Amino acid sequence: MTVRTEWLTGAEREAVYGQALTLLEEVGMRMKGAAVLERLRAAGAEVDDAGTVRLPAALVERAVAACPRELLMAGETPEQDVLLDGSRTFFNVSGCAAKTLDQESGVVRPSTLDDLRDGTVVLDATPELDVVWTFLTATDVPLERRELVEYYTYLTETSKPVVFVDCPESTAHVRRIFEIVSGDLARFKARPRLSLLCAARSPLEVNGQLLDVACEFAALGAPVWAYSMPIAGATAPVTPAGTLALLWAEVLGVLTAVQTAVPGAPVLACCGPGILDMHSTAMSLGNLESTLMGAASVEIGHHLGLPVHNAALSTDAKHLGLQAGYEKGLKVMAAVATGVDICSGGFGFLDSSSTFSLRMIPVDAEIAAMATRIARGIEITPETLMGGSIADVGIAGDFLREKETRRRVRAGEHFVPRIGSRLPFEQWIAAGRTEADMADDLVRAALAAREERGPRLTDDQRRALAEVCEVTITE
Amino acid sequence: MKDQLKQAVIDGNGDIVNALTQALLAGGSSAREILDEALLPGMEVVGARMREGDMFIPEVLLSARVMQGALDILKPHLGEGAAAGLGTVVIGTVEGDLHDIGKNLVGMLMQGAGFTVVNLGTGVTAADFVAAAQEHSAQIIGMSALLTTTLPRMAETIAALKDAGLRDSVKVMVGGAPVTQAYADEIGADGYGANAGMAVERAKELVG
Repeated sequence: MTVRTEWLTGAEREAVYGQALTLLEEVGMRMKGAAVLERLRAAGAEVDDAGTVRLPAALVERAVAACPRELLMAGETPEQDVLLDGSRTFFNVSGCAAKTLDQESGVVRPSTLDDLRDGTVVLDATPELDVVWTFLTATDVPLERRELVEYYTYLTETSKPVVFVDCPESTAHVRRIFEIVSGDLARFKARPRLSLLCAARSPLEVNGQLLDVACEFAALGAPVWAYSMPIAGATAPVTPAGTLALLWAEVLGVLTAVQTAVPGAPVLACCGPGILDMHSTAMSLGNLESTLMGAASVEIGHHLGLPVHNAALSTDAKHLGLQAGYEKGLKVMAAVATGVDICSGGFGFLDSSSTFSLRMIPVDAEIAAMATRIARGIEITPETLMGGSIADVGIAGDFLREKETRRRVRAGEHFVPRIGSRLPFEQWIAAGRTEADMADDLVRAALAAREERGPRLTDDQRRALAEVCEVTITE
Repeated sequence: MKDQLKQAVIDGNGDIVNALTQALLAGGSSAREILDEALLPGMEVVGARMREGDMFIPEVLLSARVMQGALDILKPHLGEGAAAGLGTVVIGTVEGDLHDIGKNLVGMLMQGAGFTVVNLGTGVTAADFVAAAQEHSAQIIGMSALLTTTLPRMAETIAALKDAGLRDSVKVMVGGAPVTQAYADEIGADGYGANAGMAVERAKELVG
């Protein structure tokens, strides 16, 4: 059976949800300047002059009920589609790195457009990674051009679904990008290649302009990632329970606004709780309390019938080392075992999702694949019990030459690592290859394959995109 | 009694700090003596224990708050124009950026360390920083940014300080998640703190 863990009882899930509803009804959420405030008022919410909206529980509950459980993020081809239907966990890169750990020098430096391009190429070539979001900010591109140049680069280097993290400056440009990648807006609506992240600012605030952009794009069929990232002890209560209540109030506040503007819009409930490290004052995403809150959030979201995202591949480590391994491994296992729909937080990320590392991508892919394998559990059937085979081999025989052994190993019965080594010690010494070396090989292979293959999209699409994004094509 | 006052600052016990501060004043100690021989040494211990990992930030903030309460009692006795501590710091989050928790944390710790802190809030323009520096005769301006898109406002503020003829008299500190020492150097800032504790230490060095 598939592995499923439980971290909260039904009554505990209801208690967190109830507290979130109370917060939205009594404290409210500030959405200053949002056009959607008028619609919320018309739907029964109380809106004050500061742009704070107090949402009646019934309105929130209607919005939750209107939100579809299934959510499609389309790839360039149907094989790359990400359909969140509860049947499996997908993986997504996250962060928005202004800093990159340089592969060659080992020094952390400002991220560049080359980092963005190389990172997107490697993510595109990583089978365990399903969704690419705009994970890096190219600090060497002038600010006034940066956003569109970045969009161009992402879309010409990956054919996977893409999530725009920053609030687009120009919705007109983004509408045109939707048309270019999908052919027209009707096709985009049927198979949305792009999604938009709408993040709350804890506690209990969301940028009104961003919220309106999210509603506008939801109307075009783009899934909205309603994101809350409270920091326990700083922007949220110190207790995991209190932080969960605040997180869900924020997710539900954004979700209710979007559903009120566009009933039935695809909205993903996104949970990325952190804590404030009370020694260094740094935000921590690799901590254990975030792991617990993330897993609990998945249960609460599914309890409400919502698709859920959790930033579970995070680490506070600064390099590819022991800390990165154990933090990412523990966190992602907890999330995957709850059946999270989409899991992010880390492909290629260190330092609480603030520093990008190309070399980490293959390592993260391996961690994700291992967690997925564990969550798949053990299939118990007459065929897998293999009583006949055991009888045939008999006492003191071996199973290596069994046809079923050969067939099932080829079919993936046993997980085969690409990074980890199972060599005998002497062979491992003789090979002289560390995990970092293995990861570097995979990065180099992905970049070389890209040079052979060329960019994504058709020539016509790239030309049109370059025009919208004011990019000069050099390839 | 000064040792008791110092310990009460370390313990974050506001009632005892206030009572002892008033008792020392009544007993003839000068405000300057109380400050230099009890309150600031207490905060020195707090700062050292924070650096060593012996104190958590909420405990440090409590000590900073009770220290501020004692300063309020001492202020009328310090004399016209006398500095209550290490100097004045004007802090704010730059224009276009609404994140303020990190900046507030720095402000609270600086206050606890003995600085007078003028917190301008979020979305502060270069002109507002310059005006506040002039109005409060600031020794340091501290700018925070969490968004890469708002980082350039830091360099613009430094340029505005130069234009106003203040750059030689005001030190500039920068911080926030996307800020690095390299970026601080690039824009010509005087100080950078990777976290709130380091920012306070750097501020002390700058005015020392």
